Amino acid sequence: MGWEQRGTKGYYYRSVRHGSHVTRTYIASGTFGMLAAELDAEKRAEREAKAETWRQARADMEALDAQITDWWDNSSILVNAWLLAHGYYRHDRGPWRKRAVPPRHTAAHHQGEQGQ
Amino acid sequence: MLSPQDIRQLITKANKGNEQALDTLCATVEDTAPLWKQFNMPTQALESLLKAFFGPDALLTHEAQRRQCAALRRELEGPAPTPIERLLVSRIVLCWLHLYCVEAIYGHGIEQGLSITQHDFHQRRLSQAQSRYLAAIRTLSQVRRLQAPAVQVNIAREQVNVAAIAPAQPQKG
Repeated sequence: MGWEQRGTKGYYYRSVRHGSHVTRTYIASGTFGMLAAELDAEKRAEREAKAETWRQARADMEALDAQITDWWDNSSILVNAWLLAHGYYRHDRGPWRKRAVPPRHTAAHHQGEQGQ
Repeated sequence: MLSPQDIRQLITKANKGNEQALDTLCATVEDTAPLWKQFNMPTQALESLLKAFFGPDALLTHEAQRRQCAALRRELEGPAPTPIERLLVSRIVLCWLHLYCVEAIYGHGIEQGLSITQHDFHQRRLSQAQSRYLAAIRTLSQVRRLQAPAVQVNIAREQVNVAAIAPAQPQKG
C-alpha cells in the first residue's frame, strides 16, 4: 500500500495478496486518496494490535503448558521409579505388568521375615 | 538428593538389567517424603493454573475450584489410598483441571472467531491435554488392577481365577 508520485500529483494504490502473487490496485488521488490511506492505516493498526494480543496470549498459554509439562514429566519419573522398584515393568512402552519373581530387595525382605 | 535426570538415568539402566541401578532406585523411592516435595508439586501447578485461567484476583473462584479438586481427589482416592495411588490421583486431578481450562479457552476463542492458525494451536493444545488426562487415568487403572490380589476360587474340580478390583470385603451373613 502506498502513494505513487507522478509529477506534482500523488496517487494512492492498495496492494493485495492473492495466494503467491501481489496485485496493486489504484484507489484514488488527492483528498480521497488521503482518506483511503487513513482508513487503511487504521485497519492495519487494528490488525497489528490483534496479532500482538494473540502473540501475548499464546506466549502466556505456552508458558503455563510448559509448567504443566515439566510437572507431568517429573511426576512420571517418580511414578516409573516407584513402579520399577516395586516389581513392575513395562515391555516396549506397553502396559505396566507385575514380575512373576519379585525384585531382589523384596525377596531379601521376605527371606529375612521367614528367618526370624 | 537425586535430580529428575539422575532418576531417569537410573530407570534406563535398571531397565537394561543393571542391578546396582535398581538397588539405588529402590533405596531412593523408599524415602518418598523428600522426593514428593521435589517431584510432586501439584499444588504449585494448580495455583499457577488457577491464576492464569481465572485471573489473580478471583479468590472465591480459586477456592471453589480448589474444593472441587479436593472432592474429586477424595472420590478417586477412596478410603485407604496407597502412596502411589495418591500420586496418580493428583496427576488425574491436575490434568482434569488443565483440560477443563484448555477447553474453556478454546470455546471462548471460537465464540470470538479464530483464524486457521489459532484453531490449529488450540487443537494441538487440547489433544495434548486430553492424551495426558487419559494416560493418567490409564496408569491408575493399571496400578489398581495389578495391586489387587488375585483370588482363586476352587469349586469342585473347576477352578475360577478372579482378579478383584477392590480389596476383598468380609461378607455379611
